Amino acid sequence: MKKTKLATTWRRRAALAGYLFILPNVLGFLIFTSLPVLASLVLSFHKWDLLTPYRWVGLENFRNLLVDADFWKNPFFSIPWITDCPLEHGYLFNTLALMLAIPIGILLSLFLAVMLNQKLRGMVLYRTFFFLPSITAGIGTMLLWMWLLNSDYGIINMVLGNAYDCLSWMYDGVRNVTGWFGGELSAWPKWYDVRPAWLQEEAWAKPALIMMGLWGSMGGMNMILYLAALQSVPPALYEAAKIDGAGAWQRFWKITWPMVSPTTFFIFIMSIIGGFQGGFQQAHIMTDGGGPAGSTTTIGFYIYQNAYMWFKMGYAASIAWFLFLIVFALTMFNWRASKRFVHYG
Amino acid sequence: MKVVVWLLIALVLVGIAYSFSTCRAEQSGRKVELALFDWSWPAYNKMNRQRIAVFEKENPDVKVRLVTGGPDKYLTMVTGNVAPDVTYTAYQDIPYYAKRKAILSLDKFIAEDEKFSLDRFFPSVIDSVRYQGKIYALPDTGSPVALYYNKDLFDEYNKNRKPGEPPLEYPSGEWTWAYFRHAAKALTQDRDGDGRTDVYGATIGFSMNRFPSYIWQNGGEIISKDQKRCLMDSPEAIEAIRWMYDIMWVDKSAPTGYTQVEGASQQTTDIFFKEQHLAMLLTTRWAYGDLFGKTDFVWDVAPLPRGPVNRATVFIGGSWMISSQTHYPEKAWKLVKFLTDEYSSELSMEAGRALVSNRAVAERMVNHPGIPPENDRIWAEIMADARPKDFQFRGMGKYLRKALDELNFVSQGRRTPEEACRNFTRIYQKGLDRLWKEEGGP
Repeated sequence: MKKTKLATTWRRRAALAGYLFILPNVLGFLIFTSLPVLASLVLSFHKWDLLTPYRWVGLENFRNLLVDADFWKNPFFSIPWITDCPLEHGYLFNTLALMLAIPIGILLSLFLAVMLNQKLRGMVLYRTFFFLPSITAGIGTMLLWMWLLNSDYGIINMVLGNAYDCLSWMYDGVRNVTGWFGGELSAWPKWYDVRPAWLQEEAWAKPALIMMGLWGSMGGMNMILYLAALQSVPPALYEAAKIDGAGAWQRFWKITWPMVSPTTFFIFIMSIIGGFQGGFQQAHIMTDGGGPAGSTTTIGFYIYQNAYMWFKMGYAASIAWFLFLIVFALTMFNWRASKRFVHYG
Repeated sequence: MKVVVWLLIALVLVGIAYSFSTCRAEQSGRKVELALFDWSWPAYNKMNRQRIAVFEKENPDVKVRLVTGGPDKYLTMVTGNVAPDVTYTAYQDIPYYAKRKAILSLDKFIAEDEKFSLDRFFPSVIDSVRYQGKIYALPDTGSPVALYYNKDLFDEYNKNRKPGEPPLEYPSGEWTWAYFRHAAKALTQDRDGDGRTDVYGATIGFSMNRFPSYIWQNGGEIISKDQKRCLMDSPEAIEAIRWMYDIMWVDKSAPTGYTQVEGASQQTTDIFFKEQHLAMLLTTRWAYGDLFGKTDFVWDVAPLPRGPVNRATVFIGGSWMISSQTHYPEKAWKLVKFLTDEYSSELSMEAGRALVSNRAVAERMVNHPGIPPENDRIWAEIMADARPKDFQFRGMGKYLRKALDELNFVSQGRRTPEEACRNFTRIYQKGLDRLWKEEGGP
């Protein structure tokens, strides 16, 4: 009896010690994260410009968001109340379009991880090289990419320009031949007139940012996660499959892909959350505040604009909560759907 | 129990210490501390430290604490009820702060201070610190837009001009729009004959710090005097934007919104001018930072060409305001006065803060033969034509930005001047109507 009481006391003390150890973290989370999050919820029902007292406006901020043409305009379906919006694409569409980089990035990360999982000499060095984008400062990377994407002197347009010149040369040949037989083909436009002005034209700004995003994400943390996942796949499975006559693709599709599916799921969920919140730095640094003509303004940057440029704190908070709802709903959906394609153990 | 008692004692002690710390310095006979807020540039920090040292010597009962940062930090401090006593701000934000009573009107101080007169400033900049008839700040520095020109390129043109062509005169306040356009076209060159322009005649900026000059020069306005109507669709405004468009797209004498100038180390107009890819640059005195003593050609400065109706140029600048949260308004007024007096203004000029609003100091600038720009005194003259922007309100939010996008589209050749002006008016008016409806005006 006495022994049991002692054990209970010891357990209580141990639990108390445990709680005390995590107390600083919990307190920090409650004060510096939970409270502001709750405050932002309260704020979303108010109008506040920082300098005058809050004013209760009920659901007005959310109503305004629902009719905000800049937020909703998209090329796929028309919304009856959106009739006057000079923007080509709204900010929700911009955010989703930039997230196109996610599935491509995941596949490239996995491909890279499979490549770097080989037993080759100097492999550690290769892994380091591919991880470098992750530890490079974002601003430095973006400045570098601004040079790469320069429409006249950037290396990307230089390569594309050379390829274009080759095509142009071949076309000129065809044109000459047809000319001998009386045919008349129009002249091939000059590269200078058709070259993409990556960060200055609405049509090219998003593809440019997607390209940069891919470079940053394929070799970074995702690749490391995949590498770890690949190394935990039991070699016996591959050996057995080989004995049964499975080819490389079959081994990948039937063993590797299912075995790394929890990692894929984790990366996918985190990327979706990050994607909805992202685009701020790029808009701030590379496209002069979400330009050209709002084509790279994402939801995250729109929240910043409303809060810190135009001091519409209540409206900014309502967008943030709307964003939370989207992310929450998508994450729930993914959790449910994951049961069908994620294999544990 | 013991722990609770000790905690209570500690709480009481902290309370006593806090009440001592917040006790007004003036009442307790200690030094008054004023917080001075300015942007955090190293040259300005140095300048402000020098100013503070002199001010504290002249006012031994005051200690000034320098706080640096941007508007976000300033607003956070205001919201947290620890607003700096005296703050430097871009003048276009003054209505926002004044309307919300975050800053003090200075009229009372000005009226009661016999030693002070607004005559110390250029009359043209006083409008920039006025809101609803009251003065809310004292202007410190700023600059109008002027015409920088490369004398060597003018001389080269005159030397090589075709027989029968008249020589180009150097720019002056007497230039007309027609002559400016002619000169820009004449100076534009494709030196290597590859079909791409190597030297552009001029820059035509469609940003909000550039385009208003031409509309005002043509007798137009961007908004009405009562700030209720956008007037960008008026014939005067459209004609001005058309003139800008023609220089860029018809004559091709100015870089467009897409142009990457061949051979330039950076794609900015200051650098185009510095690297002789541009004969005439229309910009503020802040460009001295890139150009002064850093060019191997001769350049000078002149007023913008006179428009068909008026002489006018945009003024961009900053001024000092006093927070309504200050405990020491009189001391803060003394500091603001000091920051705009001759001594402080001279330091401002030395620190590279463009041109000062203090007239005596600006007019003391001398021409320096042999060192570009020779005609430095011209800035004081240009100030007579300067006008602050009267249409940039923070409360306009996204509407102003979207309206400006329309003008940007003109620089990209995607809108005609007529379309852009019509769209600008529609978008801006929508924002303005909203501002009046929701907030009772700017």
